[in-house]
Amino acid sequence: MKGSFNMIDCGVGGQGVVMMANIVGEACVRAGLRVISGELHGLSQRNGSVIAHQRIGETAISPLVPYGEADVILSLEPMEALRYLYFLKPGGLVITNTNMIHPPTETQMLAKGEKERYVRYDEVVERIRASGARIVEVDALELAREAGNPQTENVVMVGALAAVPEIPVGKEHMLEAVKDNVPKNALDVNVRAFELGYGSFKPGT
Amino acid sequence: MAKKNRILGGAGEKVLLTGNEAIARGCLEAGVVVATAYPGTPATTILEKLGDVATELGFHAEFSVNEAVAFEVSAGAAMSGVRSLMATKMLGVNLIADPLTVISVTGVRGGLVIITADDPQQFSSQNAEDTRFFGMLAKVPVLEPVDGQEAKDMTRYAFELSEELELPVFLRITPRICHSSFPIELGEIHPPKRNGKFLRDPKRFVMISTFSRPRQKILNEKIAKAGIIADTNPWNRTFNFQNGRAVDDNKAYNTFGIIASGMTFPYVEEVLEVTKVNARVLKLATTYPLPQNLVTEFLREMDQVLIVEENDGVTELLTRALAQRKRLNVRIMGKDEGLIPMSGELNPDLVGDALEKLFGVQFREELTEPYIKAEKELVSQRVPALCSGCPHRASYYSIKEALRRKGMGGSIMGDRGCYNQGAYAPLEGIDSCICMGASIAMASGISHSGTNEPVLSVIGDGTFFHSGIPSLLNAVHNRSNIVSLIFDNSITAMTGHQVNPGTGVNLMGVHTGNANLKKIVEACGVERVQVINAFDTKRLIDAVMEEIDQPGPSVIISRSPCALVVERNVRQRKLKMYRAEVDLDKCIGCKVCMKKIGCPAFGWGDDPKPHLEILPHCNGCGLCVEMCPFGAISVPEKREGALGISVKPREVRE
Repeated sequence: MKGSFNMIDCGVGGQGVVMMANIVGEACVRAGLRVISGELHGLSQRNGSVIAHQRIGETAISPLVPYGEADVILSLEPMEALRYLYFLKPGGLVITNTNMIHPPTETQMLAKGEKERYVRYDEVVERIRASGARIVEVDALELAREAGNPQTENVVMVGALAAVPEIPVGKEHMLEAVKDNVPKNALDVNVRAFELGYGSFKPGT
Repeated sequence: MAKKNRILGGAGEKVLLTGNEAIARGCLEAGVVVATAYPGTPATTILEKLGDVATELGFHAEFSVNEAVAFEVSAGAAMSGVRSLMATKMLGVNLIADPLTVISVTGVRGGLVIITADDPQQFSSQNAEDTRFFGMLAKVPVLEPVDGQEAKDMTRYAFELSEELELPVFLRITPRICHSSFPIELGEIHPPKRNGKFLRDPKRFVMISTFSRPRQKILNEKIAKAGIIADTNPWNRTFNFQNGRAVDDNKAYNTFGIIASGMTFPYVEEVLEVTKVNARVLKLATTYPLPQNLVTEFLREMDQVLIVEENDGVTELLTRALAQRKRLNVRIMGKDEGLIPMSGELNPDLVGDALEKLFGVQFREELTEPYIKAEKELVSQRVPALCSGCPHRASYYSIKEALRRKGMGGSIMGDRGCYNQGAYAPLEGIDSCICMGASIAMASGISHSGTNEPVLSVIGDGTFFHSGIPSLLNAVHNRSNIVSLIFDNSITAMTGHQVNPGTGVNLMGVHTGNANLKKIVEACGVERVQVINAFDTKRLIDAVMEEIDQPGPSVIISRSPCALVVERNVRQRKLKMYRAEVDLDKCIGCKVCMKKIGCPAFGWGDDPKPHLEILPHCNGCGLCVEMCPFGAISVPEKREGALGISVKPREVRE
């Protein structure tokens, strides 16, 4: 475990969590790093919670990150970052999209009157911060739109990840892996998304 | 995605592959000639990957109608002397038990490997059964890899072992192997030798009792031989962990031992590294039959041994029996003593808990309060739901509405597929979910029980082909008073849109014609059968109400393409996706729509007043338009034509 860099990728089914993990995994291979990724398919259809574990480095043994051992949580949705926060090391880094996707169960609770209102973004972020985590907020939806396709949120997030100083993979390897994983006819839009994500990174607070 | 197929890399290359891809690659390296499966998470992608390359490499790959058929197809090929594979999730092994327990008696000529994916955490399964018991039942060896590299290499080896023993061989995996990616060094791909020939040998293959009886002895000899071969299996290995590190020194100076297999081995490694507990570890690759000499020698040097395994305590059971037979004085611990959980998948933390109980060492800090509390208070569950625009939602709404209007109560027996998600509120559309094909027969049973209430059943097209047809024949033959609905989206959607006989194209990409669902139902002798568009709720409600009053079995085929297929086709054909819109002047925030159908595209807005909000993933199916008592919801334009039934799952090759 010592010496391996641990990551949790998460989000909501349909957002491209698995592709995000694949990009990071392949970037590691390009960088000559040993990597083991653990994904969960099956019920990762739309609306489900999706998580992938990634362990980078020669000492990476099992694909599961133990509780409290993740260096980074990379989340396409804020509530999902909070859901998996127990994987984060004390003082670890959370990189989260600011765009909330409310679970249908929460909407159902509103319908039944079991809840007054939706959970707010600032409440979620406040909880993440209260745990002692550092947090980087990325408005991935806005940046994806700016790049030309709102579906590139996941590549925006990969861009933001690439800018994190402690990540063992360089920007070039990450970008090459992006190019290798996206449809050929959407290459430009994804490269723009990556660069916008990269540029948006501000060290966590 | 125009990516190079990852399983086709050159020998010596090191690539990142999932466990399922690694197994597919292992089949190519073994020169597999026939590969079969019925889709089932987490094993589905093995055959998808093989299907991608089958035509190019010249072997046969198929998604069969069900697991028993898949296994029999593979067994037939293996009896003809060629290597063949069958891949399934563990529940499919229940179906193959019938042929398997006889084919182990006849044995095979070409290698026959069964990949079985157990699901201890029940990520996508109705139970958590342990398929190693089927190995014991049929006297078929079971191998278990600990990572992707072993999964690939052991697949290749399993074919060799199967040929050496002339027995089928199980390779048992779990979701953490199937869906994890590992760096894997590739071997040589061997071209398939498609030179099968079935040689007549009635005393071996005609298993009437007079011929079968003498073969029991042969089977017993084979499985005993498997145990001897297991003693020298190179993947069975022992390690000494001293001070958190594995050392090569093979002297048994540790008196605490651990036996671990499959994914639990890396968990054990990790925990020993951190806690620095000294232990001798046996990594067990052959979980049935046990390598007797190896395990005996291992136990002989130990005072106590912890057995770490997922699902049931099978290794624990076999090890205890062996220790008793060899009169070894060693304490064997595991699930029986409550150190290893009886159910659910393991992880490093749970293995750490066991060592903490034994030695008081700590694997990790206790989770602190803010973490646990934060999750419970703010984070709602995301349960899998029927997608927005899913035709099953419309069908369930109609069925329930018909029952409500009838006012006679009633029960709806469900089956296995996407439509299981209709069990959740507010639809609550099914009253049972047992196994593939159970719906129609169980409804029949209820109808014969003396109930006065209507009895309905719901089954998808893929599941109907899989195992619904005999139940329907039975319902006709024995005159069950039921209404059977077949939800027909012409594809096996639950596992990710695999082909079935109704799709019209097979896994190899060849057009083989669509099985005609209506004609099959008619041919079963059902007199009352109708096909209705799933979104035509008025007709569907009327039909269900009408059929409830009719004696005998009747069938309603509720047909509409899968919402995800529709969306894909809309995108590919660059058509406009119309979405539902809410008229804020008319919406009073009554939430009737939410309470009736609860579409995941429903959101809630507060500005300027509480109202329904339509989220971006709405695909304009229009079901909600009918739900609103105030006419506040509309869809600007209906989509033209049926955008799904003609789906081509793979590039068509003739």
